[in-house]
Order: sequence, then structure tokens, then C-alpha cells
Amino acid sequence: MPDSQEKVTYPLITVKEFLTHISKAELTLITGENGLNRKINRPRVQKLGLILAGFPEFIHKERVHLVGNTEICYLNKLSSEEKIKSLKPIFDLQISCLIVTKGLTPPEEMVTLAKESDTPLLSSPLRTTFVIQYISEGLQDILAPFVHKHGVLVDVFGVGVLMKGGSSIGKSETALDLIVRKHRLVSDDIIEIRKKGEILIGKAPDIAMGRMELRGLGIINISELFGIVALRDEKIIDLIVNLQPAQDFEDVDRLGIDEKFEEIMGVKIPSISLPVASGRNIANLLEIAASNLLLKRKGKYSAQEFVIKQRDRLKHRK
Amino acid sequence: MIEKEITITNKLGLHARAAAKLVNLAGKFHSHITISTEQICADAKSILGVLTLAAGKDTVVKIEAEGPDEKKSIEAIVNLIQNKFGED
Repeated sequence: MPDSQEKVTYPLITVKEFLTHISKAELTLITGENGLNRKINRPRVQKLGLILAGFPEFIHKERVHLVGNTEICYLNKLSSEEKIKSLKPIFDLQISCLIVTKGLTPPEEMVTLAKESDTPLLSSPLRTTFVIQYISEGLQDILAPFVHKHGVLVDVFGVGVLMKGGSSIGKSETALDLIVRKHRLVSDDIIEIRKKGEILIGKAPDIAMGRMELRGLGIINISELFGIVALRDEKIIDLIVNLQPAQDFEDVDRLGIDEKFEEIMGVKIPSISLPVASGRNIANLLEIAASNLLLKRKGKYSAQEFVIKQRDRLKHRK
Repeated sequence: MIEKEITITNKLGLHARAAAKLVNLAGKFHSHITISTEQICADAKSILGVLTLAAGKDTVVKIEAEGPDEKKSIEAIVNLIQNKFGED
């Protein structure tokens, strides 16, 4: 089914973009400006460490590479030939860039090799720990893979609820009900979902932000109609709710003791399926679903508690 | 599931009224239908989704459908796009 196909986009950035985006790391270019269009596609920073001692097995050229005090001291103990022998294989790999931290002066051989291989050699006055932290944080944001999903994302009591279901099942109408009850819309109809670490963050594509389509009324502007509090820029997705016509259900979950999950980009999100039928106020049910999730997070499982109670009573009957 | 790639050929691309025609047509079928560009995949029955594609003239879009009337639905949509949404 097209819906289950995930068209994941993995962003990448050039070293030039990296230099301007990660301003917190205070990076400056020493040499290798011809290589500024090299690509970075992984958020983790690779400290050269043992690679310098001739162990290059785990090097990924599209990562950001870094040398700190330890590596510079080690290199400074080597003769000029040994330095070249240690460093050349790394530059030959065409790594994205190499950062020297703590404002340390890189050995001459390193600067020459960087220049010759067009590898950007960067410097930061900050200590290694901070440089790694700022770069990883920044790159995790920029390089977060994303997909687009059909559905509606609403913040209900602080719980990010992703409503899914076929066209015209009433997702937008339910979202409108929720907005009237002072909950906040993130996106209607199409959601851009980014994966950051093990969390999923949803937002509206720029063009659709704050807009909603209601059959018969057309496209409406939520913030103009309901004020800015009715909108939220982005929200972590905590719960997936599948709205389905009641007649499509074979066995509705009548107990709620089995936890179900759905995966988006490999991240498991708790999910429930709600039958849609006349007389069922979906907005109301979503409020309850969100509150119930909050209870579960506090360790309160209403359904399980009830089942245990009932089992105890059965025992006493014997 | 069947799919077909087609180029948008009308002058204005997938603009508001064209998108509305497409969404209404897609809505007549029972199949699940998506339309996607290289960057974005949208539900063909969702007007906001289809508009978000912002597919201009000469953009190649992929139509995918799955369901009882998948063949008919793709034919109808491809027809609409080939006929430039009745414009030009």
C-alpha cells in the first residue's frame, strides 16, 4: 500500500554550509578552501585517535573529523616522515574536513597535506568536548532524515497526536473540534516528520502551515480565525490514532490491555485504532486517548488494573 | 499496486484549480492514491497535500494507486494531466 512506503530523505550539507550553520563551534578555515563543497552526511564526529597510529578501519569520509590535544601531542613526537606516513592515508581518503581544537597549531605537514589534497582544515578555539557537543547537536538537527505523511497532527494536552485514516473520514473536522476546545494544530493533511535520535518531530510544510481544508468551506487560515494560540510550529509525535469506518473493523479492541505500536522511520510509536461511527465524538475520544497516555506514562494502566481485579475475584469464586 | 510517471505539461503547473480538479477526481475512486515529486509524497485526495507538491510545468510526478479500482483511477488521473486539466 502506498501509505506504508516510506520515502525517506537523508539531507546532506557541504563543508561550507557546515561552517556557517554551526556558529557555536567558532570554526575558522586554515586551508583547503577548494574542498569546501565536500559533503557531510553523518552527525557523529570522528576523533582521529588510533587512526593516526595506522588503524583506519572505522573511518567514514563523510563524517566530520577532529584532532585535539592528544593527537597533536602524539604527532609532535613523530619525525617529519612519520607524520606524513601517519597523516597521508587520511587525506588520501578525501575526508570531508578536519578540525583542530583548542586553538592548537597544526603541524606543518598537516597543513601541507590538507592544502595539497584540497581538504578543508578548520580550527576552533574551544575545547574538544564542547566542539564535539556543538557539532553533534547542530548536525543532528540539520541532517535529520524526514518523510512526508498524510494525516493531521494536533497537540492535545501536550500529547502529540497523529491522526491517520482514509480521505474524508473526518480528520480535519476532528482537528477543528479540538482547536475549538483550545488544543493546538500542528499540521493538517500533510506532515513533514523528522527523526532526531529516537524521537519523531512533526511540522507543516512551509506552504501549508496554519491552513486547513474543510469540505464545503475550502482552505481556511487557522491563526487568523482562532488566534496564534491555536497553532504550534512543531511537536514530538507521541501517539498515532487510526480513524477507520466502524464497518471496517472486524475485532475492535474492547479491553485496551495490548499495547500496539506503529513504526515511522524505525521509531516505534504507540498506536490505537478508533472506529468512526455516528454518535461517537472523535474529538472527545482523542482527549481521552491523550489523557490515558499521560496516565500510562505515570505508570497507571487502567485496563490492566481492572483485568487483574477481575481475575482476583474469579479466584475467590472457586 | 500500480504506478505511473507523468510530466505536468500545462502552463501554470499544478496550481490551485488544477489541484482541485485532480483531488476531486481522485476522490471518486475507492483506491488509495498518492502523487509524488522527488521530494514529497502526497495523498492525491488531499488538496493541501497536492498543493504542497508545488509541481510546476515540466515536473515529473509519480502516481501510485492501490485498491479495487487502481487501474481505472490511474488512467483517469493520467488522462486529466495529459489533457492539461482542460486548460491552455
